Amino acid sequence: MQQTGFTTNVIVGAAMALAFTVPAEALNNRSFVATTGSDANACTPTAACRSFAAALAVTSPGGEIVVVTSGGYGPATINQPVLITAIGIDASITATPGNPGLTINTTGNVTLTGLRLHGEGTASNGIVVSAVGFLRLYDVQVENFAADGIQFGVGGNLALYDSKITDCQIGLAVTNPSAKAYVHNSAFDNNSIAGAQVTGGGMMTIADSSAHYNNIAFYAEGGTMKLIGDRAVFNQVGIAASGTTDPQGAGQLYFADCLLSDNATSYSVASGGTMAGSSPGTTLLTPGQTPSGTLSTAITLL
Amino acid sequence: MQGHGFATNVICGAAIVLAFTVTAPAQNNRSFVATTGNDANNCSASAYCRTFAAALAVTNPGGEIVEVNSGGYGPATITQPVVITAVGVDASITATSGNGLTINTAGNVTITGLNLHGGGTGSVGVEVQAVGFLRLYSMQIENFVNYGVDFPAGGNLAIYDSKINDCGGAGLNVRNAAAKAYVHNTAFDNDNIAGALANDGGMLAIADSSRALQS
Repeated sequence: MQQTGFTTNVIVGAAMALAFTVPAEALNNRSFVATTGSDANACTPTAACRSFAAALAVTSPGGEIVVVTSGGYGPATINQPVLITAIGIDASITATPGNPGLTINTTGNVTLTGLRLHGEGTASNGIVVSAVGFLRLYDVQVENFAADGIQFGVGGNLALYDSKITDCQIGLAVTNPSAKAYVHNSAFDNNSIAGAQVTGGGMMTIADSSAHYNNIAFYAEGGTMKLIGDRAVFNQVGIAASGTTDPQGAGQLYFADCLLSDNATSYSVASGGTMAGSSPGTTLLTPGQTPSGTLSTAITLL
Repeated sequence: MQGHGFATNVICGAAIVLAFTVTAPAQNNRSFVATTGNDANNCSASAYCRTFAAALAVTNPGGEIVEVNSGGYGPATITQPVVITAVGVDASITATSGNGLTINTAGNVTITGLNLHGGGTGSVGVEVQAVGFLRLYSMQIENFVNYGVDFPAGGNLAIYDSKINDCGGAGLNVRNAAAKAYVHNTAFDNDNIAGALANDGGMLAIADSSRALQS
């Protein structure tokens, strides 16, 4: 009996030593995950890991994680600068009920390419940004989260390119006076509150993007939003600026070269809010929609 | 003879039990198909299936189907919310009769990167009998007798970054008063009647797209 107990203690001790040595030394500049991998591996090209969480634990700050094969790699918290890149495959994260897909909490820069986040209607947010220097999201799909697709509530910079955010409450929510977000060639569909929304004094510029079948397509609830070359189609409200409900001040929305078509309400300006079409820049508002409120700068309507 | 009949009954019984156990437990949140797969597998990441039909049967509503490599995965009927994603591979469906995909669910369906081939004899590329929200991203649909995408149901449709060509009817036919379709960065080429057609009160908005060589 005593001998058995001794042996067990030795094994436990060895396991603990392993657990502590893994994050301390032998970090990879580049880690690999694959559906054929195992989290007991070192996440090298010849011994891939199975999950993002395991790969992050053995990757140097500023290093890279490569996704080798199509599959799901699990929710994760990113607390270091890192690049995660999936090209030519479907690299997915399916979040669990009540929890986010990715949490980002680092003062460094994070770049994510080609990830697909699935909320199954029960997970909370797709990506929660608790802290970041510069977050870049390229070719990302975020769908079916019970709360927001991307929740950016801290100071810092966000660039969102070539992405689609669907079936959430707010597709992209920017809610901090020190936050700046640039969105390009992205689509916001069927979000129950808004496709993209800025509040709390944040700044958001959206170019060459579309929002359709949302409650509100583009919404400056507080802070400023600029739209250029965007389309809002089939929403309850196309573009909206709120009044003085936000402690950081009323919403300001500026737009040029946009299409507002087949929304129940084309634009909505609450008392105290600012909404203006810039000149030059021709915006098309098709007939059949009801406006609400007064534009700060009149534009020619069809 | 009697012994043979008995053996047959036992086999039938086993098949029925199997059919019921497949749909009840052990469903995948994410199923995998590959040309190296087999429909007798459970469609997991280590035991791929061969066809969409088999993968759909073992995938949870709202789950995902991943195409591992390039090849044909067969016509299928989708009766549940699902996300089918092919990135970086040619994931094809050839339907020389009937429809490439038939969609009949109240839920949302998102399909990325499938290439549908009608061979000049298949009826419709994507026939939508019912859907909540159907999203088609990066699709190629070609050479069907009737329509590339036929949308006679109420519901929402979004088509992005796709090409629909050589269909005998319209590339896209939206024909329900409760249907709304948004089309973006998509090309309709050489479809016999029209590239994109809205009728019976359906609504269609098309942005940054092209239509060439129609009759």
